[in-house]
Amino acid sequence: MHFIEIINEGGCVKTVADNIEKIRCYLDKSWVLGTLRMSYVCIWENNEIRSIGKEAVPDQIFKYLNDCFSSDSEIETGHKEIIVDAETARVFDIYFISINNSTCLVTVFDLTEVLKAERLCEERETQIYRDVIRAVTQGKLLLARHNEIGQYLDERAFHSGMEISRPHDVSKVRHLVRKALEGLSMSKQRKDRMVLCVSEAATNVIKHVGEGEVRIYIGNNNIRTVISDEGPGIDVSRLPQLTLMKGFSTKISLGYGFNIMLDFLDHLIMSTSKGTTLVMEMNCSADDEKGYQECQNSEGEGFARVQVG
Amino acid sequence: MLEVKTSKESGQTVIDLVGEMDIATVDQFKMAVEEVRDGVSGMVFNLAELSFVDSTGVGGLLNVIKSLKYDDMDVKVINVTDEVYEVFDLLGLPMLLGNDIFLRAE
Repeated sequence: MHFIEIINEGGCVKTVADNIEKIRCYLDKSWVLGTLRMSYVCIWENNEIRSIGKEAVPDQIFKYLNDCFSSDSEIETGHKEIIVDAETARVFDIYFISINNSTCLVTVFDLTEVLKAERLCEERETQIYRDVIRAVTQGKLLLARHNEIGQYLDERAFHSGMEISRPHDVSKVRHLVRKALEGLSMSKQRKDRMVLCVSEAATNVIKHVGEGEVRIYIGNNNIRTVISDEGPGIDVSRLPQLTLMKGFSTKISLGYGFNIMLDFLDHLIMSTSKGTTLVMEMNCSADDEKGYQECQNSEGEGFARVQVG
Repeated sequence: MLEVKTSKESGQTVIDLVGEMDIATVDQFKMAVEEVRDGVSGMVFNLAELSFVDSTGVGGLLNVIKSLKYDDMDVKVINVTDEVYEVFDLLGLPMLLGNDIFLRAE
């Protein structure tokens, strides 16, 4: 009855039949329930385990349970364990329901398909964020997967780098970038802007993570400064809002520096799943303004090679 | 590196900022202002020799100016170079504090 109350949150009075139909609909749509199966049931009794479900417990799980029960430690009711079968890579969720001192019921759920479905869901969500963010930033900001970032880091183009761990390192990073920018065909204004963007990103690392690394790459017609850390990452669900709002009035704690980066860089590639990596890119061209315009008109063409899905 | 020079000029306190204002130096700036603000009717920040400021520095400046204005102090920011003003403008500083307190460098 409690479940019915929850679903009937609209406040209008409905018949029990209506509610049951609603719940049925709800359950039919649930991908979790669709993929979750109670795979095996067994009972430990008189120091031995026997299957009581339709299917016999596979040998690996059987052995694992035997080890559990033959150990000295007492198994409490409601105890839960997750095990991974090394051979098949299937994941099992095991519940122990103790009945008395010598009897314990064990249920085994195969989570493999649930986890797969969940991963697929996350993938879909990430793809939506990628598309939205790319659209609202006119192709300037790309959310990349961790394994895609390597495509932007041509080690033959590596110029210089350093590790950062203290506030004073931010100034050293600026100095490093200024050095790298010397001799590049860019206006002073654009060089200053690159230095500022790097300062913002390095500051974010010091403020929110504590330490990270800066690497500068100079290609044939662009400069990329890559800042990475091993921190918890940025909540990407806030990015669409952030990219649409500007200035201190937004009061978003991600860092106002983000607006600066989006305004001044030609491309910003971000991966924020395993730590955060930012690739800050500016085009250099003999004709600085022309280079900038070309980049604006390309609408993120440079990203095409990493588009997946 | 940031150097904060404090002087008095016709009843007003003038603070010259020389160098770079960022995460490493912004607290030094805030402390310097705290030390001289008591009993002062107005404060002038001279940014002629401020060679670099980022959003952390701008945030520090914004908080200091808001706090001084809260105490009814007359505040001016003078000799703002184009590079520095660009950052102020992008972060909405003139909009938040009023454009009349900023005087651009010639």
